[in-house]
Amino acid sequence: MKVSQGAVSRNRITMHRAVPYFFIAPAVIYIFFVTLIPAIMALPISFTDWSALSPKKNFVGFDNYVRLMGDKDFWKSCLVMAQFFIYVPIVLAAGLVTALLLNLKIKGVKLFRLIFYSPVITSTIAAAILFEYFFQPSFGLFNSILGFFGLKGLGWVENASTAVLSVIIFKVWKDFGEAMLIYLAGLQDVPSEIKEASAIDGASSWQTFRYITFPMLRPAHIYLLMKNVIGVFMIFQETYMLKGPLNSTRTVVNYIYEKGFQSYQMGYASAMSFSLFLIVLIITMVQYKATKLDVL
Amino acid sequence: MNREKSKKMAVRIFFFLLTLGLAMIIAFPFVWMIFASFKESKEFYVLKPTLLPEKFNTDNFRELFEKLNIGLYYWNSVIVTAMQVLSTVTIVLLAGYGFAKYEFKGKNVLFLMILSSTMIPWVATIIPLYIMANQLKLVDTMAGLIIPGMADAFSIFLARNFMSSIPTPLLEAARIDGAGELLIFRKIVIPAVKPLIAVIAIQKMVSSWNAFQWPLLVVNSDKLRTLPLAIAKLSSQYYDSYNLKMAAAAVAIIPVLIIYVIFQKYLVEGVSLSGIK
Repeated sequence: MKVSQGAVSRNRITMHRAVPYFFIAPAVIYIFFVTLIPAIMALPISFTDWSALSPKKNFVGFDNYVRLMGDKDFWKSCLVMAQFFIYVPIVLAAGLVTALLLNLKIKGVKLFRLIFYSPVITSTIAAAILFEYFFQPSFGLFNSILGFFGLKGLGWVENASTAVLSVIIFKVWKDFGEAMLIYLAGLQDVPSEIKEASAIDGASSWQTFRYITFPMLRPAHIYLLMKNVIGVFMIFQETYMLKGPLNSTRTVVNYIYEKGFQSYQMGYASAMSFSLFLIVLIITMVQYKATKLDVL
Repeated sequence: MNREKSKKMAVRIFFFLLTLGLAMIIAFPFVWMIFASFKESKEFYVLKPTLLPEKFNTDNFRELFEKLNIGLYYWNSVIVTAMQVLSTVTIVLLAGYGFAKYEFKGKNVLFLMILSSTMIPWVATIIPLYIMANQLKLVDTMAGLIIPGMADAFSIFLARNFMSSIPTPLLEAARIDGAGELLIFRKIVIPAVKPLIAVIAIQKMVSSWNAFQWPLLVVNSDKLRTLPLAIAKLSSQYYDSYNLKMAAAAVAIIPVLIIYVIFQKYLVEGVSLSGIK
């Protein structure tokens, strides 16, 4: 009797020790199989000529990376991506301006915030359809508006030289609400006493903004800068829907998709995505460093 | 003094009008979409387009549902979203609680592992993930569509931070009363974190409903298409039928907009909960 009671309590103790693992197990298993193992697998796959459709795969060493260096289409897609970086300062500025306006405590702030954030929650694919029509050169809305003011219409997405710009317009409309929310949260952390004190000292509103508010938003600037820079590396849906001629909007991710899932060169596509991953990882590390320094 | 006051007033009115103008520009595509989805095809091919349709006819929606089977894609999106929200909330709450309120071996390493996984962009994992799905015969199945979106690493981080504020003595008291761990979780923890649940559920709902990249890779057959996939296909197949495209966009966007307006508090709160300012 006594022995079995001891066994029961020992069982209870081991059970007790196992409890936390039951709570975290589903999450750990999920992260392991859906993110970590695939991330690790990407490297060995990039050393093969696998098509993923047949079991046949050969180890080709660094061949895919060597090919990448000489692939004109890859470098062209890098160039396209580089053009998209203009988007970053624009979206940050749009977010900051709208946040500053809403921070003035004008009437209807809640409604305005609701409207400014609404594009963020809509499907990129569905919203791109609207802009596809707006950008239409011969009867689209934007050219009708330009025509109303007596201006000549543009080719927008259908012209290789304005295609990236058009996608950027769409992307800024779609995303600036998120920057706005983060700037708004940051603005609430700027103590109004400091602003009042500087106003008493005779600083103009611009000077107060330039020397007090703007520098105090540093954590928001860093977070948004990094987030949107990484976002540019990942552009895919926008340019999947709004395609310019002559591959003028084909980003690296679009190119990875073409090579991996349309030509089934999974090994080669993997080499590209792994290279992209390394660059993004370095940026993320820099971000963590920068935000850490901020806390100190 | 009076002049000063009226100048201030004028500035305020100016900024209000500026904000109003911006808001009208931002909202315009949605307003346009709603009216345009009732237009006829020929109304898109005019030099001076009008906001309002000549007459409100629902033919576009009828065609979408009767001929283009959008009801099926809608249903697929609803199923995928519901399953992913349900499982994400469950997995995230369990893990958040486990990391917030228990001490165990390997806790820090495992948490760091989850945190570091948020730094891995989707592009880095998508090819191996597809190959895994292919080997497990999950390509072009409902399970293959749903499984990779069944949890969210960043939400676990959010949940752990939020749940750390549950007072431990409350849990200890329940333990002394003989309550089991799962009962404590269900009866004490869950009711205490309702806003957190709302934040996680709404964020996941929006991202599942709009998900495009993974579905694009994993779905081949028509019967498994979700709304964004169907819309992308419609857009290239009927590229000159703007009336149908507008109606399809409206069908996909409006439900999310309605839910967003009702629950916007939680989406906004999510940003501040994440502690990034």
